[in-house]
Amino acid sequence: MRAALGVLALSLGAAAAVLGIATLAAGLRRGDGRLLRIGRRYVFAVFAASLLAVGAMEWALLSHDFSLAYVARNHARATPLLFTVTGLWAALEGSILLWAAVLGGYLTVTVIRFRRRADDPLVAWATLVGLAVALFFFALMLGPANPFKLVEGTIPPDGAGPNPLLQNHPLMAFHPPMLYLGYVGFTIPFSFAVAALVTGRFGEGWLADTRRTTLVAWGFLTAGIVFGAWWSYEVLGWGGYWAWDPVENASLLPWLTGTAFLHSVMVQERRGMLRVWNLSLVIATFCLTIFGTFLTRSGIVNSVHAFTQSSIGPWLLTFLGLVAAVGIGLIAWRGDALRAPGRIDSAVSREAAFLGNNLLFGGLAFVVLLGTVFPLVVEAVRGEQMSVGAPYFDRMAVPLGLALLFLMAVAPALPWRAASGAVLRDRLAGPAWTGALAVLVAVVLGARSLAAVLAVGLAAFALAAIVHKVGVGIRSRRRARQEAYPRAAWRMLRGNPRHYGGLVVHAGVVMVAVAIAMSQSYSTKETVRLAEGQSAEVAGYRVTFLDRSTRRTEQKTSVVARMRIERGGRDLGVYAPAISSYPRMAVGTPSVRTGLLRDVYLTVASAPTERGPVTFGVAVNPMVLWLWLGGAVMAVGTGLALVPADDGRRRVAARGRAAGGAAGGGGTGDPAGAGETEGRGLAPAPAGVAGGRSARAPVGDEEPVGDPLPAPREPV
Amino acid sequence: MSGRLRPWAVWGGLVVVVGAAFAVVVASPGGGPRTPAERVHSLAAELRCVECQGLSVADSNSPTAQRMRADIERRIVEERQTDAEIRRAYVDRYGEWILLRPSGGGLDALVWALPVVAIMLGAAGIGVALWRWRRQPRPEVRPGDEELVADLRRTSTPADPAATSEVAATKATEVRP
Repeated sequence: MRAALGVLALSLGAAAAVLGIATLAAGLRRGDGRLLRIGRRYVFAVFAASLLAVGAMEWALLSHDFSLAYVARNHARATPLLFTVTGLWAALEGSILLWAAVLGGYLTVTVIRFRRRADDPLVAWATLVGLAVALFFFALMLGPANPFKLVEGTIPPDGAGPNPLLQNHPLMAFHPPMLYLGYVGFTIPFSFAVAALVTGRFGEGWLADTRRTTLVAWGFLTAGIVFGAWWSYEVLGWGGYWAWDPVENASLLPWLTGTAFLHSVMVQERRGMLRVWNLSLVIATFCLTIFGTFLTRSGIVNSVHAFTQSSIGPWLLTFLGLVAAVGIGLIAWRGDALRAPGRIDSAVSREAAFLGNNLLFGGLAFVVLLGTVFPLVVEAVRGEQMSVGAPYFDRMAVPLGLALLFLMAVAPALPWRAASGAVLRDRLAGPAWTGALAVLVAVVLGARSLAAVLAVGLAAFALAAIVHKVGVGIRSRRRARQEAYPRAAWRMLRGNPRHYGGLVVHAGVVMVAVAIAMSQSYSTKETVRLAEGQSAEVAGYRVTFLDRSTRRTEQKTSVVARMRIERGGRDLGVYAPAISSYPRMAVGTPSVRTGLLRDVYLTVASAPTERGPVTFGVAVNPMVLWLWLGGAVMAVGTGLALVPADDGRRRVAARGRAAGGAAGGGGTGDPAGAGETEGRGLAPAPAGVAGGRSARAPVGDEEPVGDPLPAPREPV
Repeated sequence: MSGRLRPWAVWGGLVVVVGAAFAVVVASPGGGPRTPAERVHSLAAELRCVECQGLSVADSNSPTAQRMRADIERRIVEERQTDAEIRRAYVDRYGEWILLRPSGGGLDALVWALPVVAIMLGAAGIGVALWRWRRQPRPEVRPGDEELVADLRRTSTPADPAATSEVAATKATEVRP
């Protein structure tokens, strides 16, 4: 019944996608706006079908319908409610179902956002591409990854339950959906990039159309990665949060290229340059989401996070090849028209800094990709296994990360076009000295790790540069408008939320960087064997094993140890790490005393059956809390950057009236905010306007003059 | 501070202070003789825990990892083996796979060299592009351009050039075929 409903829903979804694609294709071919308006409606049907399928699966999970192979494998009668619901994404088939539903949601939102432009070919093409991606996932579920497959033979009375690691922590409810919201969200900018290439409208229009969606996807991916790290920390019990595991790398790859894209679009918006590069980054980001899924779900790599293996590998690989071929082919086809005349005047300018940013993020993505696939390549060539692990990634990523931190400190202070020595001194001398002082303090306090000292100094530099910039902005608003501080700050933020939201994200990155540097350089970890009543001293903390108790439930048998933590004679409380034996495996449950400066991380390392003394893992990890706080600040900043700018429209209109809209993207107004005035006189602005204008003009096309906001777009 | 001091004082002072701090960091004993516990940890961090998935012997709490750490400690303290000898012993037993840090010989060298080469090429490409742009003549200022900019500056609020730029940059230039 539920299986039939699910398969019906999947078939309906696939059919709706096919019909939608066909209708849109016909409409585009004939230039028939009516067909395009009909075609977009199939998106709603696809979304509804995916929701129906998700509903059928949840119903099957909640009603213990073990006639479904997926439910029998990933659910048991004793599974708690929360982990029954999260069973949807506990294994491959359900994850693909979630993927399809999330994609349906994104497509629906997009179609609604662009409802007034339904017959715009750009939007129609983007919808078509999105539906094609959705069709692939529906086909996957009707083929090799069918979540509604029935069990062979008799229906088991009870199932195996989810993997013990997946029913151990409530973060399971957040981490995978967040990650999928991020991964899948990049389908939308990809669809628009393909649409821009097909329609030849690869100016800045498609960037403006997808800016918010890209940012939403990026924000969710960031949150998903941070939640994943947190889950690792709280569940896996080795005391760390990132192991350069292939699945972790797979989530990081699109984040790296996506972050590069978020920065390099600004160069295109401003100067009309880097069109090919931006299109390539978007296509690469989407490819990397598919590649990540292939890597983690095809069983070609072993990972703590890969909870299923299956035969969908060839499907995903074929799809990946197709997507890459289409992307590269389209760019090659449009090659000449894509070339935009433009120039970067100085190596010390905002746009040059963005180039550096892209080089570093691209390099980092390359390192992560190479390190992840290298063992597979070597094994294929040499027939011998080898490993590329944390020592490699740390060695390669740390210098690149430090260089990025430096750029993050410097770049927001650089004016567009060119910076003079005076501007640099004005904006950066104070922050740079703040960084220097932080270095001095760190060294005086005894820090001797080069990477950690550099990271702390650069982090202080970056943070001071942000504070300086915001301070200057608020002060200049106060001077100009006689506003009180809070009001000036608020209005400044509302005036350019994208810019200040970005700075808040940067502040979050500073926190994350410090947390990583400190916890990687100054963690202490020991295993101690204690009988009840005995104590051990680790990094200034005294842990005492008080007693243990055994708890039996239907699912598992847990041994819970109670440990007292003290520091300098002060009692910090009793913590209870545990180890549970499930039918298939033993899973530890760490207990963490979280502190602003240090976490004390306790695990039971003995087998759960052992009698007598117990082996404990005791780790003291500095500043890990700041990783999660930094992640939260990054999320808040992303949210801010999504807020529409206040009263921007009125001013654009005023500008448009005065200038015929020609110079909007030229070299004048500066998103860097107030305090930019001194940098302005450096480059001849009129030349910038003229250059920017010509760089932007589409090939063989007249842009309507005097109409800066062609909002209701007529069908072409 | 920047208004009163000369540029060389601002930046030169900075270089001296930071340089001195890093001299202390670099000069501090780090590569010299280490305690056995430190050696155990750094060796264990380079070896793969055979039972686990992708974790090092140092990171894992599994019984096997505990045994391997004890074995490393025994080799260091009792048998007085060097780090290289211990690594070789493990490679002989488990194969190259046990090393989390690729050795750097033969094909493995690529994993170290390729990113460096790629990033250097990228940096060189950007450098060449910047150099060529510098040599290009600047576009001419056409009559009317000056007024255009003056007009724009008048109409946008002076203290708040930020507000409009994004919208202007993105929306005003929509391109239609």
